Amino acid sequence: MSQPTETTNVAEVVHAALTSVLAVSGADVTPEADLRTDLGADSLDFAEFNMALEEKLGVQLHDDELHGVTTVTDAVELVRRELARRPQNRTTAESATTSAGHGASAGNQ
Amino acid sequence: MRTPTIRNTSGRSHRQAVVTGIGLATPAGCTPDEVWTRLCAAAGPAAARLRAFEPDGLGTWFGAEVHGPAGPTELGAKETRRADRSTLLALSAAFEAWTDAGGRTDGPNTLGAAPPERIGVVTGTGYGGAATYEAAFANPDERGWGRPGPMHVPGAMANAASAAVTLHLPVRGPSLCLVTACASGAQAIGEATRLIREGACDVVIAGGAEATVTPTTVRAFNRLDALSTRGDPERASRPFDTDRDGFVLGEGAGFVVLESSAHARSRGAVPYGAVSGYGRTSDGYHLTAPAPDGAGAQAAMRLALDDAGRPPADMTHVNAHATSTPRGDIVEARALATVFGPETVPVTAPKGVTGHLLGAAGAVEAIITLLAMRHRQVPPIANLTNPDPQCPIDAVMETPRDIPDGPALCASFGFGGHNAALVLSPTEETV
Repeated sequence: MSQPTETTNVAEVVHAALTSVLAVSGADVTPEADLRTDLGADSLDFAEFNMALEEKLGVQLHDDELHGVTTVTDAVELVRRELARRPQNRTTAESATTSAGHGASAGNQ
Repeated sequence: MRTPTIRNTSGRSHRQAVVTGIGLATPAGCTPDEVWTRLCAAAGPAAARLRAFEPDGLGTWFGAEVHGPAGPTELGAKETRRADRSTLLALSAAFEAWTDAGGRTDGPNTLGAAPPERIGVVTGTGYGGAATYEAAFANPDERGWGRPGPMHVPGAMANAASAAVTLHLPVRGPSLCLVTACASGAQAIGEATRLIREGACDVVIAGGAEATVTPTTVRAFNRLDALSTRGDPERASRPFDTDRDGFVLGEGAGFVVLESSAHARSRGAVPYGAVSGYGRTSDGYHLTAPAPDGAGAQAAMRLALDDAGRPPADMTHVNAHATSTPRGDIVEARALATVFGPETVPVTAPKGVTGHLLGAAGAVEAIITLLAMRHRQVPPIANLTNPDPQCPIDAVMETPRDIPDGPALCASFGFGGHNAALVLSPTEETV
């Protein structure tokens, strides 16, 4: 996974992830574009976007915060906030992933 | 919609299901004309060195792939990216069938007077989303466990194609998925026929799809000693030939639009034919081997004939399942000889050209049977140069054989001992 140190990198990663996940033209992923109404994002897209961020940046966004995002700029800012909290975020994310594996399975029975 | 009942010669009555649209996505072509021409030539089997991935080291290096775009052009970029190849092939064939029947795919629409809740879909598949499933293991964690993405479950699930049809066509009635290995496609059409007959639906989109030409699944079938190891791909699939040594793994899809005859008539549709008989049984013998006595296969064919109210002698030809395996072809040939009499009915076997499309095979071959009835010709069996004397059938060889107007039987058998047979009839006989 890459280690972005400049804020522009975050915007680039988010832009690339959204373009790929939503299968849209990069030109359509403008800062003010609404993820749902302009770019057609649904719940599966948000889940795929989150996984792409995890792979590229090592951050895992909380579902409720992610679903509170409206525009591309909102998404970039949310990722930046998560990166700023990074040590805490990574520890929390990793422990949550480990324990959620069993919890989620049990919850689906 | 009120539909008149049809009484067959065995005294039972039912609504008749007719085929008003067909769609194909196969290694032998993606239009009925293309597939028919290739079948009749019998000289251009679709098997070749695999292109989708580098097959060295898998034990088998050739198969029968569908070339060109897997999904319909009407599908958006995101939907295409999300869907497993099996779903894309299914949608291609289903859209073709829907359009062929007179439906549209570019917006809200229906077919005739049928309300959406009386339009259903039945899909068959052996595996579901094999490529999606395998992709999760492309980059396993340190324990060897896969790393699935959010689309893993909805992409790999066996019912994904059935769900996709409801998302893109005006289907709001029953949406079902049948998984009976290589009998899936035939059974999907058979069970769809029953939905028409029982009055649950006026229209049902039915067929099968499979996309198992994937590295792990190719290796898996190789490990099962099911695949031909002949070094010449174009001559590897040779149903009923003495030198056959296994099947050629293929991929593809075939879908039909079934309608009650009254519904088809009310909108002026001209059917390809009717699904007049359906039989299905189980061997209860072995996970992969056919029962040596072929009793289950015979029973399925007899049930289909009885369901159609027709004696064996009425069949103009049989489309055999014949995958080109040493044991399966013999068992089937003997079952045919028992039901129809030795070397009585002309028998063809498209897998010499198409390869084995697993869960799609039965649906693709039901369409091929309808095409044969329409052309009044039975295509020859590709690569059948030295007929196995243990197969007491009248195999159609070298050139197409003319047949009279009339019904035909199409057989499909699957791992697990699933047996299915369809009788297809010219519409003027049945409506």
